[in-house]
Amino acid sequence: MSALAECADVEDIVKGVLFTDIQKDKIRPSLLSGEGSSYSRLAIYSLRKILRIFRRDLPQPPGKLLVGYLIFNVGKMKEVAIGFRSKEVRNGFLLKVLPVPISGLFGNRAHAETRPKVTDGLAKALLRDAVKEDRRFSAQPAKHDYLARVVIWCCRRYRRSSSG
Amino acid sequence: MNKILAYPTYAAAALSSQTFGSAERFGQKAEELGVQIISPYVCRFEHDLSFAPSFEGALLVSEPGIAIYQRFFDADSANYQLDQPVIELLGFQSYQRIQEFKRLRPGWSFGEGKSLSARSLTNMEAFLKKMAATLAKFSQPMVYLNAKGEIEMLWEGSGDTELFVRFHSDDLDFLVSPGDVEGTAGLKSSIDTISAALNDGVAV
Repeated sequence: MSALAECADVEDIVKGVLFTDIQKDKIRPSLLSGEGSSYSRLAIYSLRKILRIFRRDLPQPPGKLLVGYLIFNVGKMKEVAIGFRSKEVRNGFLLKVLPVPISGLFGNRAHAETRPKVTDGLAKALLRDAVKEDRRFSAQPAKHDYLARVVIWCCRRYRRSSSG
Repeated sequence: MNKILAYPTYAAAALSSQTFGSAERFGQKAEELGVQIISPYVCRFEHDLSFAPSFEGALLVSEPGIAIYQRFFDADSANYQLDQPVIELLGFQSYQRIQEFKRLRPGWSFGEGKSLSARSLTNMEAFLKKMAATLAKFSQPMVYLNAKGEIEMLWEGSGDTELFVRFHSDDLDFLVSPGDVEGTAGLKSSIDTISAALNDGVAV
């Protein structure tokens, strides 16, 4: 566990949404569940840079996998977690968002994780009540597709002009 | 000595044109025929079955069993073929998604995603077959894949009724809403708990 201080309640954090996480606009209820669910902190990097890191860390072409992102407020997440009641005994349960920077060449200084383990029920409640922004990318062709089309178009033009 | 790797009930199907119905029944039959069950997946046959009259011709009609044998032990889920009734329960869109999941290579989820687990698919298939009657009351499921390569499914009923299931290789996690009934258990026990939770005042 990181020795760094917990993320402040005012902070916003980003979670990438992959095509495996969403069907018919319904996000996988367990997206935020588990031990050490990953987020990126907007207090460290801009959204643009975080999305660039997401795309860098995904297989090519990343546009096929990354279909959107969710922004959460740390304070709101904690509030929902405290208010969440299930049939399980949750005495002493306190959600924390801890900075866990990933070092190295392909690191992410903005990386953070939730502790302790988030159950599926709580994850569902967080998705329902703690999402600050839900952004889905439009199904436009990826940038490299566009460039490929431009290159093909230029080649055709060149062939036509040279044959004519 | 012949050696076959298969789930007992399926091993029976693999060796005979008739299925014996249950693992216990197969156990009885196996004893009569000198088939030793080493583990749920490993059975050893003490004699050459092709000479056993009761199994004569059985190996010729063992294609489904052999297919299941291959599915169980083929580490690559890409070759895993879902049964037709299961595909119907899934719906075309969800089936297509599973086909897409099969194409994902290790590291697909920010460097950490595992390939789709064939054992998770087997578990899912068994669950769908056993719960077919109950699940028919829900709309067609939504299918997801987690970074561990496990299939997760969500069924939506009327109102707030939802059933979420995550298929591990041996057991499954479930969440029934409303009421947030959560748990992890084996197939039979999970089905009992889910059915009870759905019957407990949850109008599907």
